[in-house]
Amino acid sequence: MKPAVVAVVVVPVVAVLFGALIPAVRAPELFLGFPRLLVWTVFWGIVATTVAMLVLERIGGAADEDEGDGQ
Amino acid sequence: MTETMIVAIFGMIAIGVFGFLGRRGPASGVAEWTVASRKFGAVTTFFLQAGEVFTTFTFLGLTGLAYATGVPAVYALGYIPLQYLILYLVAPKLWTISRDHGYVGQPDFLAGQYRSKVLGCVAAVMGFAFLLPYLQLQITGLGLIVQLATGQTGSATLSMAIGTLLVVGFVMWAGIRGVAATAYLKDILMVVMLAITAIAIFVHYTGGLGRVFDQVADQAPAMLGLQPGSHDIIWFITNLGISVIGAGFAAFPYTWPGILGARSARIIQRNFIVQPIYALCVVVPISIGFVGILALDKTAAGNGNGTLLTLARDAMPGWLLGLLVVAGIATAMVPSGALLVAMSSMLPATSSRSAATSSSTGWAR
Repeated sequence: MKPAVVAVVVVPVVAVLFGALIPAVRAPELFLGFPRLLVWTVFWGIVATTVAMLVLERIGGAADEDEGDGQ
Repeated sequence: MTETMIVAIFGMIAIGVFGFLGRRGPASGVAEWTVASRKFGAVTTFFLQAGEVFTTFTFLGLTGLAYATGVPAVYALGYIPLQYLILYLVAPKLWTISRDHGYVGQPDFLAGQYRSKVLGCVAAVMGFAFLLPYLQLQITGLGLIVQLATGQTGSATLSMAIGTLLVVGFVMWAGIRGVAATAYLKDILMVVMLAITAIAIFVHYTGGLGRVFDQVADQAPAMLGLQPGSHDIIWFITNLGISVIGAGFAAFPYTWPGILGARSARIIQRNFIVQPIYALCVVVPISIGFVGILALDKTAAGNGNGTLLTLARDAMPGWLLGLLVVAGIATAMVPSGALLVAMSSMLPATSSRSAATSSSTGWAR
């Protein structure tokens, strides 16, 4: 697996898994009207993960286009 | 019999009919019955995989978790997208190897790839042992949904019996194609009813979504952060981590039919790119749980699983509540069907390898 692919996967995984260790993220306060941990998780979990997969499409994480076209 | 119960029973029958109609003629073998001969396109694969995420846990459990503990419930918003990111890389390899060797499930795959029938048998037995309680959870969740909505204990037993018979029936008749057909209905119904229910509950109890968290910040600010106790940072990180590892590396056998049934590896990957956006729907039950913190006393919703329906009962008319119940029932019946298919797909690993690709097993004829 290419180092670039690993890096693209690792960043959002680490951000979501360990974001709660950051005091400002787990604090019982709101950011943009929502709990901070909710905003953090939506950003890194949904937005960044989707972007990461789009990046993987470009840098070689995608399977071959003709990999299985029915039987 | 209340109008809610009547709508619920008709809804269950409609879900069952969709399942029966999913069949495309007699199954030619186990591969057709469990993975539709790997012919599912992008849309069907999307709904099958989305169906595995939105279960009674999402509908009842996550709302209850948010009600009982507050912000720790957002762990679901983290592990669901992360599993797709890992599966984006892992699933195409599983699909390609399975297609080349004719594997139809996880134990089958393990037995073949590691050339160990013992490993396949162990995986099948473990899968059976641990999927049975999960299946039971879906069925009891179905009963709980009807009971909470109607307020009648007897209605739970009746609905569980009808639901179980219908699921077993359409799965035996149509296999994975029956599950796929019901998955369409389930997700469309669930998204529409979640949106309607969210609007009804937010407007009725807090005056809008924007005010929910402001009011929680005033009345119960501790619920907005991770606090020491049973649902602290350690719980959050380990729960998230275990869920990502389990789902991302396809450790859950019930996710395999949805992957192996796809027509190509690219369909699976493109599907995973879209799934995280769909997972944003999970914000709704979590937010409704926060409304419960504001609107319910601690005894009103029991252990929390009744939060959504308890709130909805006062905010919606009976017939609309009935449709919400049908959507909830669908989140139990469709995953139950997928679980049954997954459990059945374990059987080839416990017999001979050739069973996986045999066309003379006579299943679902």
